[in-house]
Amino acid sequence: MPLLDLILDLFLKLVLPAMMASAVGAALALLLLPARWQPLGLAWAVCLGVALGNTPLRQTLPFLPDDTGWPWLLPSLGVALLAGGVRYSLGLTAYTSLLVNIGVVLFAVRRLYAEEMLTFAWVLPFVILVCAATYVLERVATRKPSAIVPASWGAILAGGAAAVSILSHSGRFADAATLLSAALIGVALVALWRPLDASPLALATSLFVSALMLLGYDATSSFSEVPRASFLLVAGAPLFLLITELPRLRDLPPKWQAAIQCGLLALPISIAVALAVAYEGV
Amino acid sequence: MVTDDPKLTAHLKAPDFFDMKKHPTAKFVSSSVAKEKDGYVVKGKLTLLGKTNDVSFPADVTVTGDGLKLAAKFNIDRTAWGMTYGKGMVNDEVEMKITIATK
Repeated sequence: MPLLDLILDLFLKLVLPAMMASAVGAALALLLLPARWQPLGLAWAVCLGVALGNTPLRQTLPFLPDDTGWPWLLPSLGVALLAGGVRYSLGLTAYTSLLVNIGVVLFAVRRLYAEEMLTFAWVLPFVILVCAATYVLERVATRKPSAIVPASWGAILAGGAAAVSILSHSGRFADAATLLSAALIGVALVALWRPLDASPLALATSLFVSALMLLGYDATSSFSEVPRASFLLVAGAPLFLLITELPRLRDLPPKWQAAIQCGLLALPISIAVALAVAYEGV
Repeated sequence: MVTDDPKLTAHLKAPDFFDMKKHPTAKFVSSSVAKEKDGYVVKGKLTLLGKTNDVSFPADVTVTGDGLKLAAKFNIDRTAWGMTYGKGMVNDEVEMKITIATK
């Protein structure tokens, strides 16, 4: 199939349904739900977008996995979205929230990891990475709610995770990254109309990106030349936003902060993709 | 697994198709090779991606002094083994060509 047809197929069958469904869901959540339950509504909107984007036409990820490993990506994402929404709607304390985050990540690890990877050396760094990335994304999202936040998270997925996945020969993982990316862009479209706090989506985003990169590396490293650094840079991209916590940067006007955020995410992603291209070729 | 194109080989090894990290082997266990009116029919169980399905296919069987030769060409539906990626872009029906020589 010609490249243009492939892109059109991806857009019509995956991107458009996911983006529109999450945008409609997020708009309805903001219009119909009381403020307290809007975080849960937002999480539900992204779930709806991902579900409708994951149409039987492309069969990107199974809804009901019959095996451990990557088939559990979608249920893990659903649990992370639900947990993020519930946490913010119930207003849990920081300590309880951290425990919830760790619980969700451990649930995902138990389902996503192969038996031989269920060791301290593999699990601990993953839990720390996801929890740290979630913390940073939440800090950025709550500081100044805007469309830039969910849009930039979508860009990590589409520009980083999808690109590295496709370069390492995994179209399925690239589709999966595009799926959540499209749903986040749908939320960003609504945020253009009414600024919203995307914090409830942070756990799901960081978990999904990290899981995609870890599983992608594990599944393709035996035949792909894409280096481990490419996968690590994309999974760790949210941590670069920690730089925006520096006092001088925190006091900058919102537009400058948004530009710096985009630059800080673009840097690791660009290096990751450039490394992948250099080693694997296009 | 080898094809003419290294990039195609790599893609076939990925989770999109054969998911070779997770399922490094495929297996066919024959249960019968029976002579019927139009030739031989081989029946057995084919395991791909950890799933096992019954298959049967016609085969040409030749017995010579050196041993036995079996040649077959038939189609399977890859989605029956859960190989669903690329539906609509990649054909579900896959042609299998088998040649076996025994001594």
